[in-house]
Amino acid sequence: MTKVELKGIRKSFDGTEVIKGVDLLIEKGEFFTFLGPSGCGKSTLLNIVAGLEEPTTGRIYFDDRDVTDLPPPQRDVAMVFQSYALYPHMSVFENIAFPLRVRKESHHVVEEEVRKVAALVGLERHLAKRPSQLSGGERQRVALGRAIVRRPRVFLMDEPLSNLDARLRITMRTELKRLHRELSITTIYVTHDQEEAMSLSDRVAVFHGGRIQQCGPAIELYRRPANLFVARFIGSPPMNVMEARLVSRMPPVVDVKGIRVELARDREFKDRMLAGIRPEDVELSSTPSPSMVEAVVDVAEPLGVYQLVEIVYNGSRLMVRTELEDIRAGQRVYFKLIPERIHLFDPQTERRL
Amino acid sequence: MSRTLKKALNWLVLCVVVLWSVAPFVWQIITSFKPSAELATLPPLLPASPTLDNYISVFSDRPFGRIILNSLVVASLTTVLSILVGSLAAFGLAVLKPRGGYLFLGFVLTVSMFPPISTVSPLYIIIRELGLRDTVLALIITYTTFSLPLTIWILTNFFRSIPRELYLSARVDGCTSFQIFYRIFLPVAAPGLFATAILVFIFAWNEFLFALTFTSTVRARTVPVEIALFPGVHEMPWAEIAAASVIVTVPVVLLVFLFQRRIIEGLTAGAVKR
Repeated sequence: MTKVELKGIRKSFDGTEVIKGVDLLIEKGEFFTFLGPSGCGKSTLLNIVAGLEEPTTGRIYFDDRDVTDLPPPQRDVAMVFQSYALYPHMSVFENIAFPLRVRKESHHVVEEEVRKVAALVGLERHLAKRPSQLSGGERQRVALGRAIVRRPRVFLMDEPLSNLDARLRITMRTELKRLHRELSITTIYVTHDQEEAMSLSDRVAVFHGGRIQQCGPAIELYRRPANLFVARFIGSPPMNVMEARLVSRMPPVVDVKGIRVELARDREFKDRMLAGIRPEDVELSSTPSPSMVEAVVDVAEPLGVYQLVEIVYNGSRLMVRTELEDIRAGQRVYFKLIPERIHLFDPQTERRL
Repeated sequence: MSRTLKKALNWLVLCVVVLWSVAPFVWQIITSFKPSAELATLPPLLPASPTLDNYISVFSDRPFGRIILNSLVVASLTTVLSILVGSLAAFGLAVLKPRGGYLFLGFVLTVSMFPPISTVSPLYIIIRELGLRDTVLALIITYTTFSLPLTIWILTNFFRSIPRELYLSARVDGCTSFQIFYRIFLPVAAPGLFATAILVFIFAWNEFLFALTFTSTVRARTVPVEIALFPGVHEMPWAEIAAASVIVTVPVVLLVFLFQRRIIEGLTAGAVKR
């Protein structure tokens, strides 16, 4: 198990800075995820850890040893690519065996290790096939097998599941988690899918514009997003964000688009703020009650366990998640924002208050 | 238009095209089996008394065996050398992406823009000074030079069509760039290599101008030059020329048939996503 440390990493391509100073410490055996929209620099940073790109400035340490100037073969990392990058002219067996062959392991060792790994990723029956004869999920397993077979110090994965269909992605997600538990190799995982990041990772770093916006356990990013970007990026469907005004300080009452909510006293306030509330933190009812506000349902999307409902009140739209089943478009409903679940942000800096 | 009519029309057009392109060669074959008395008969139908005399005299009266061997050596070695140097250059340009790669590719192309006739005199002087006159080596070097632009261009495009992740992945798996070249890129690009190799081989096999200028004896003379030297002072041995042409066309045709699928794969690869 290896500890990975990044210190002051910056990277420019042709004068455009894509990574603007990243410091990170990834613990031994941790499953760590770089999460962010495309173009946020997360894949570039992964390539820098792999040694496929050189940082413009900054150093990389594996277990306190500086590896910045080492080429990829000497870093002993394994990588899984979005496109799997299987060698098309080799059988599944040879694909998995390839890293061992390059290291000139004996025939006996190769045979044994490949069989062991094939069993681990469930490919025993496909060893003689070519990659082109495999399904997407099976190809993904070959790529994983090829990465595992070397027992690398660090496991790097660049959007490994995004070429799979939705159902397979969820199966493979579980499988990845099982593999990580069994091998406990330090893993850095890159994705733009917040659900994947939350379900897999010990810790997540959210990237935007070449900077880390927030870093911590997934649940913390969900509960206490550090800024508006993280608030909107984590959670699905995304958080509702509305303008809010402070109406009185003692007791603290804010006005969110005409709805008055009394908040806890120990929070910080400004006169003008942005209030965020997740769809699952809005209480919905089909019968009126004095503490609730009236609205009209515009769209209702039944999803089985729950419904996503877009309601309109006072000219504003709000996405709500509810377990009520008898909600239809055009119907009158009554809702309430749960005060302790309201996130407040500074409208200028977009930081959490 | 009915379906059968359409089909019939298709076949008709196909037949015309095939006839158009194959007819001269068929005429050539027929002529090669004719005794000299029948040569001038028109239309060129099957000979009344077919004979193998022309084939026999090509080999018995002339050093044609040796000439074919020369051509084989020149064409094969040119192909090997071209592919060897060309694929290395193309890998460098396409995958390692050196600074000024595009400039280099453009520069390479200019080499093939000179009409061969304009370079033949200076090249002759160089060859003479190197003491390579009338050797197969002279031809191999010249042909390799002139086929490299084509080779580098085709293979660069071919290597570019191979996903970059394969390179990155092999790099992480512990390969040096050269290992990636021969363990991954060469095998994956095999169809492209075949297609290029055939084109180079045909070019070297058929080349006339340089071969005529740089060779003077049987030692290094190649097939096209030898055939051109067939006509004597008083006679034009059409039948022997035809026989010789058939003999030297057959290997090329065979080669193309043998690797037909590979060549088509090679020429169309990268056109659609696989």
